[in-house]
Amino acid sequence: MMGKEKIFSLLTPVIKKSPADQTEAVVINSQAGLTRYANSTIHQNVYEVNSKVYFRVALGKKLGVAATNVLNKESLKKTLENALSIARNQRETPDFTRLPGQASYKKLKTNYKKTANYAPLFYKSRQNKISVSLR
Amino acid sequence: MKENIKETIAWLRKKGVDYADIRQVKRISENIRVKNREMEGVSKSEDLGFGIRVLYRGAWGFASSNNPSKGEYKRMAGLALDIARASGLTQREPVRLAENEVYKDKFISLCQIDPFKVSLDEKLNLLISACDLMLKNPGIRVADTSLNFFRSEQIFANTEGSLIEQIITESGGGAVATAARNGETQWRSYPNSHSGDYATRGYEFIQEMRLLDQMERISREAVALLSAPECPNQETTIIVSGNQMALQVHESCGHPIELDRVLGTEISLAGGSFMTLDKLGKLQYGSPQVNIYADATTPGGLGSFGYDDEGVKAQRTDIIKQGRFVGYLTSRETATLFKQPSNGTMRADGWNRIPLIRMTNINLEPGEVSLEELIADTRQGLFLDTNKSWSIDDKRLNFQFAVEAAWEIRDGKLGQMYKNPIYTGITPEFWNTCDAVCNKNHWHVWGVPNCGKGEPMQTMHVGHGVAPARFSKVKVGGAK
Repeated sequence: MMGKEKIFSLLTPVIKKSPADQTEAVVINSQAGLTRYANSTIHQNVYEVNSKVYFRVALGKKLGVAATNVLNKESLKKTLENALSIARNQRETPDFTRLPGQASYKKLKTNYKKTANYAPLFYKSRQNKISVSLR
Repeated sequence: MKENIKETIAWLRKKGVDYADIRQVKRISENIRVKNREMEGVSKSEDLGFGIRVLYRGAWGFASSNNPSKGEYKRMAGLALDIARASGLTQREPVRLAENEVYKDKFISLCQIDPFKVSLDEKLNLLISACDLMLKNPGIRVADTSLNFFRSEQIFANTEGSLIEQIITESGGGAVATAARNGETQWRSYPNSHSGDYATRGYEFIQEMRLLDQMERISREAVALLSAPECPNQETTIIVSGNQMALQVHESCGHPIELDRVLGTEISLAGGSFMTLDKLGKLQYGSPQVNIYADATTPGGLGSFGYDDEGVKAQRTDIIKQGRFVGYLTSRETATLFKQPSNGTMRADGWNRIPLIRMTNINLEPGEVSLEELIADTRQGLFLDTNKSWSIDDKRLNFQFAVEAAWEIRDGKLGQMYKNPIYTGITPEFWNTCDAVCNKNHWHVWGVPNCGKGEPMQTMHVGHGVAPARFSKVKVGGAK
């Protein structure tokens, strides 16, 4: 998954060239695992990692949103163009004033790598113990 | 990118896996909705990634990522292998896969006009014009229209040597006219409810839909429903329209024949099936007029493809033959139960999901009569059109459907319109009363883009080739 520095280096040049009155990029990094158990066996055990960028642009009171998870310059540029094209065709949102401005946010530690990587790495170190307890 | 796939497959072979496959999928989509002439929403999105499925010592593992770099391919392959090892800890019987041929092929679905090259203006103009026509009727309060387009470009490779590329384009859309008066609302949809009709075709499918030709009719019918009497409670003969038959087949036949569901692996979310293994070849599911088959080769069907997501070639399989239950939808894993090859129904909703057994095009064979002849042949009954809601138990046995509108049939002619009709039944009892299916002139493959199954949830696009059909002694009523 991309870190903060890479995200900024990738998105800043694209946003700077945006002709919209305001442009916002939201990056959502996700990592998920799921194990399904039926008939006393694991029949599904899956993992995914994904990063998705959502561009929101404002042309006056007209808004457009487009998304991609292809994180290269060409794709990001195309996605921003898609958001602009949607905004141009969009009706005005009367209540819209502006996108949120710059702000500082408190850093929250809610992601614990040890927990996130619990399985299947746990298996590697504890294989014998688990096997014995299952028997 | 193909090099990354080939190298990863080679690496997995060296690691001694029983089997592994990789799917790299790029999907683009465009969704447009216009309500009362105003653009309600437009979204465009692009999604790319790959998933690696590994079978190691009889147990499955799967890992996926949106980063198609060489390093990430290797990392995910290692992780999928580790996950398979972990799954093996609880394995009672090792998973075996049915034999499958090795294919090196490319499949491209039907598409004459690329929907992604048609301008947004043209699409919006169509939907705004449809709204205009609906809003001409002063009784219409909401005119709702939508168009949706998808393209999936996929590369599949497995450790057996298959390398398959597929490009599948899908187009769909529809309109709903809603009338309201004195706190009551009624609506009519075209060509179908729940966002319209879909096909694995290009923009020509939207043009052939002739959306604008039907807007006056659905608006008139929606307003007329406000004044129509409630559908009376009765046991009677019904003729079910084509688009409602699609959902009838979907819920009461398509789902219960999914073999993973039958074997209990979907009980935690979507339920099981009354069509248990002991009933195969024995259950008289329907009358001799009922012939249902799964066919992933149906031209333009929303459930059509070249190969499923295990690399099994698209094919046709009998499910119900002259009323007798004769086949399931299978995967390479579940088909070993019958010592047969898979019939190719494993599909995944994108790169980050594992394939599951999904409906392809579950089709009801057409009969001999025209709809006009069938109505003329019905002394008393109801014609039921277009789904409004559905409900069915977790074994797919006891169902209830509400439809948008009903018309009385008396002495072979359509008469009084009724509002809020519902009908209910027990699946095999209902299908055993089917005495006629309309002919091929009324047969159409309806696209259903919202079939849900699995955890994490996977939404699949499936098709149903059906024609209107007649059933007797059905419990019908009115429900607000």
